[in-house]
Amino acid sequence: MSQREFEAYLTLLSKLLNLSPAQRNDVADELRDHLEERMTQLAAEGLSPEDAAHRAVSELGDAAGLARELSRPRAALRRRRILRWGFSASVATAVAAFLFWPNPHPVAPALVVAQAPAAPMAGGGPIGGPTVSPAEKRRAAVEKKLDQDVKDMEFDATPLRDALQYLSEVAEVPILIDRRRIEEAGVEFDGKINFTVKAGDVSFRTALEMILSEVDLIYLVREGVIVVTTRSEEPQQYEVRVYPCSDLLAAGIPQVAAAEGGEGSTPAMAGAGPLGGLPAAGAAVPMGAGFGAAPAGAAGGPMAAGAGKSNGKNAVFGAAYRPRSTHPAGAALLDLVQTMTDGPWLEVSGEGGNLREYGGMLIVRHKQSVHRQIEELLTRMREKRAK
Amino acid sequence: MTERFGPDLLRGSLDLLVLSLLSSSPGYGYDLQQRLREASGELVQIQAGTLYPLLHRMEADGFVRCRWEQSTGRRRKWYELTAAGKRRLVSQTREWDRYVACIRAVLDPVRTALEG
Repeated sequence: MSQREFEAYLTLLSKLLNLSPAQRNDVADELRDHLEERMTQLAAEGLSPEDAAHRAVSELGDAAGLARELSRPRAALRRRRILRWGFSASVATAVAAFLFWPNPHPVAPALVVAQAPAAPMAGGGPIGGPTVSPAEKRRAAVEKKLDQDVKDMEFDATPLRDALQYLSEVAEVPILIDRRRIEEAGVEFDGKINFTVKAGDVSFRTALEMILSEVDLIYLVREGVIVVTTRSEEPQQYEVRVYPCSDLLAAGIPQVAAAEGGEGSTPAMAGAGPLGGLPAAGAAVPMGAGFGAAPAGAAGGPMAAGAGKSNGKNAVFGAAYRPRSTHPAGAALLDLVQTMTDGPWLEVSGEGGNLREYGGMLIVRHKQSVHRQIEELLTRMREKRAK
Repeated sequence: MTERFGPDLLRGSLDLLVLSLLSSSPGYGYDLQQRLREASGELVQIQAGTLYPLLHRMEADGFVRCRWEQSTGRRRKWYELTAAGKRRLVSQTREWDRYVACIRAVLDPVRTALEG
């Protein structure tokens, strides 16, 4: 009898709480404990069980008022910690924009220029120098913030959502959680995150990756917003980015590749990679000699010879295969990128992302995680070269 | 029996009272309600509908932390003071003392008039 009255009250109250399911459950458990205790006390004072139960419930007061009061501290905490995506119209718009984002597969996405150190554009190139779209600027701003050192961070059984809110606040980037897909994947938002780093240990990017890997999620950068979503979303999100690489190409790729790979000999490295069938990366110099004789962009002649070499491996493309690069060292750069990143690459395994070198620019269509690896690779190559 | 204090008078000091109860030992909601009643000689009776939001607010502010126990067969939420809560208790107590002294001084003429 008393249980029924308690449960009716707690069910109503729970429904009115503006909290997560786990938090609602905690509130109900806490108040149930209170009601039971109070009822025992009142019964000991001589009240009938029914009266005791009724009095215990009425002492808690009106469920709506209590629910409002109990929701307030959490809401205040959330407000303090993050942009409140969940409760405003702009959020609905953001979510809708995300959910209905055009799938880049069927249509060629707009060309974006990747953030890269200002490299002199040799000869200007047919594209006419880097033009940075507003979308790309926003993305670059987020990437830059992610590269900051973390502050002291201590998550001790912290719900995922709170951890992300905290990250969002300290890194000053909006983090949007792709709630629908994550819930479909069965990931618990209130799953506990244990993660401690000291200021300067890692970048926000690494911290975010580590936290998300605990729950098997990933993040994508959508213009100025970080979207946390499931792994299954990633392959669909191909983007084209252009990396100005004239500086690296001018310096010659094979030497850098050998230094990066630490293998000592370039042919050994190329042989170990998925491009074993191609002439070793070290062969870029002889290939380059051939290319050097032909005007950039011309098809046929030495270019065709270069493509022919590739075709030895990439039979899937048959006759439709087009020149991969225009710069003498271009092919070596493409091979290096394909060897040193996760892929998959269309040229290598018949599916996945694709890449070209054109007028000193590396043009890549791939998912963000691979783009990140490419950025890191190019940065490291530049660092090595600067030494 | 002495009259209980009005809710307006209590509102500003309930946080302090709950912090002081928790400084002697951890407690759960109902237990704190009873302890406060006893400690105040039955003069302060905090309503459950006031106490739980207050505890949750102090938890969100980091003055108390909670842990769950199952020993009674039900889940019970225990609260204890954090280091920040202890600092808060000290500063609030000082502030309260200053406030009481100040009010007392202001009310002195009234008291004299009543007695005289």
